[in-house]
Amino acid sequence: MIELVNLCVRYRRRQEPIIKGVHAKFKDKHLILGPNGSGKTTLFRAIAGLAPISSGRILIDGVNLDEIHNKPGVLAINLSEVHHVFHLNAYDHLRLFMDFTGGDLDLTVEMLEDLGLSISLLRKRKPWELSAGQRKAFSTVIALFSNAKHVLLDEPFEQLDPARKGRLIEYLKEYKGILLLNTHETWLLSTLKDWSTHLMFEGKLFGPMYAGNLVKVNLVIGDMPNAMLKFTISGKMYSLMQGKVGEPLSKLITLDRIYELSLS
Amino acid sequence: MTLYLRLKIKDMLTNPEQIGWGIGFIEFWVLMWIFIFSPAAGETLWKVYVIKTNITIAYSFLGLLSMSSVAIGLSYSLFYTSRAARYITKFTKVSTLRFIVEDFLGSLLAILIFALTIFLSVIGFSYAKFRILALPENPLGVIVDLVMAGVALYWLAYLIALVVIVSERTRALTMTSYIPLIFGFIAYSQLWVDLGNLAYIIPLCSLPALLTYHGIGVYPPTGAYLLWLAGDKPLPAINLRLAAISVFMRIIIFITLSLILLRKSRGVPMEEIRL
Repeated sequence: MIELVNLCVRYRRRQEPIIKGVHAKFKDKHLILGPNGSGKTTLFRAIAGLAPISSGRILIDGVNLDEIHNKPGVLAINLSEVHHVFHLNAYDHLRLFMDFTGGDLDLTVEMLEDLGLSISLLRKRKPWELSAGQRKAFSTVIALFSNAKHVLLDEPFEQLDPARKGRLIEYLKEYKGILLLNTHETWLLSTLKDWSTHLMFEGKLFGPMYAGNLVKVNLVIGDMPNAMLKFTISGKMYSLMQGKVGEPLSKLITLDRIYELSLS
Repeated sequence: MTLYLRLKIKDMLTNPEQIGWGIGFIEFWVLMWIFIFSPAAGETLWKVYVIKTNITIAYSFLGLLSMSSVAIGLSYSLFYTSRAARYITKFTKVSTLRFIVEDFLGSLLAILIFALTIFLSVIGFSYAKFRILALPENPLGVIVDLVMAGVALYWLAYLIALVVIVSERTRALTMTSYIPLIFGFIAYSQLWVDLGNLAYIIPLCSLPALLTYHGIGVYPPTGAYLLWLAGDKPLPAINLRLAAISVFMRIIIFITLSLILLRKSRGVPMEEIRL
């Protein structure tokens, strides 16, 4: 289980915190749904020990993150910045990470080929020479095959074509382990209905609710009575309501549109 | 040999920038030194000695410049992999100590291969011109000196990358990464300038003296090597023990500071690298 206790994160001393006092527990499969710039990636970086924690704690299976060193199988993340080590081809990087984590290289290659990344391509290109979608798929597969109990997937569907998205979703549904997936794409709500979901805006987490329940709710600007969930963005109150008022959350397609709604 | 170590060496030795600056650029100066700047072929015993000394000075200084050039790339690679390093040492079977040791050994081996390439080319080209095989008097001593130079430069490069990361001045890397080469050229200036006691203080400046001593077996001066080679003016000999202590102290200082900064480093986010 990953537990966040009053977590605040900022990169520079005088900067306003990017993550602002977040409390959460993640012990199954979770979606973190938020617009771009809401702090989703920074939250994942903090959980992976890559961002400075200005206050609060992160516990992984009850152990403080700062005390975790040299522990394979605890956590994996699909940020490409952690999978670029050398000025070498992607296949060498793949071999390296499977060696580091004890992952099965053959299975990983199989999955990558399923997502359209052949061995010949991986041998030919350096990780940063892959297209954005290929790069994301590459890092996602490394994270999933790292034999880790907790896997953090930052926007794994970004720039993937629909066919590959479908294959990846099927794999994620069957994955045995604790998965945290962040995205701004609301269409996932109807696909991953039984996943616990947090909404994230301006460095704060709201929820959790089941994705299946969020599919049916509408977004209303204002402080509405009987709202299932209320949150504030840029000083404006929003309510999630059942019924016919407001805009269906799943129809937004991307949560980035929430800012457009506030302008209309 | 572990996979990381093998890939590290492969990375260093196949990087076109490293090859271009560490070997290509320096080879140009090797050719210039041997075929343009060196005196004509010798016949008398004294002339043979002068040519051997000239060749020793050539591989000492140019080898050091090659290693300094490689150290620039090393600072960059340490900077770019800072995030990956933190993640690897936290969530894989590789401990921090093992990561540092393997990274260091791989880099050192690659730096030495670069330096030995320069060394062998100086020997080879000088033989082609003078028909004199200027092998070092003390090959083991030369190897030890090259290892010390490699160790000092690796930790200097590491220290520079960590200072940039910890001070959050990531844009300063372009400028600071050249510090090893600047020190390399200060050492190179000893060909013309006698630095006196500064040779013990400025990093890398005492290394050419150690290499020259082990190459020809005589005590070189604290600088102005070309003047010394011409024999026009007597120059004070360097204190080799002090020179060796200076290099050791430098290495200890670089390692200690790097390890202190390493504890504070969380790596550089991708966004900052793209800036």
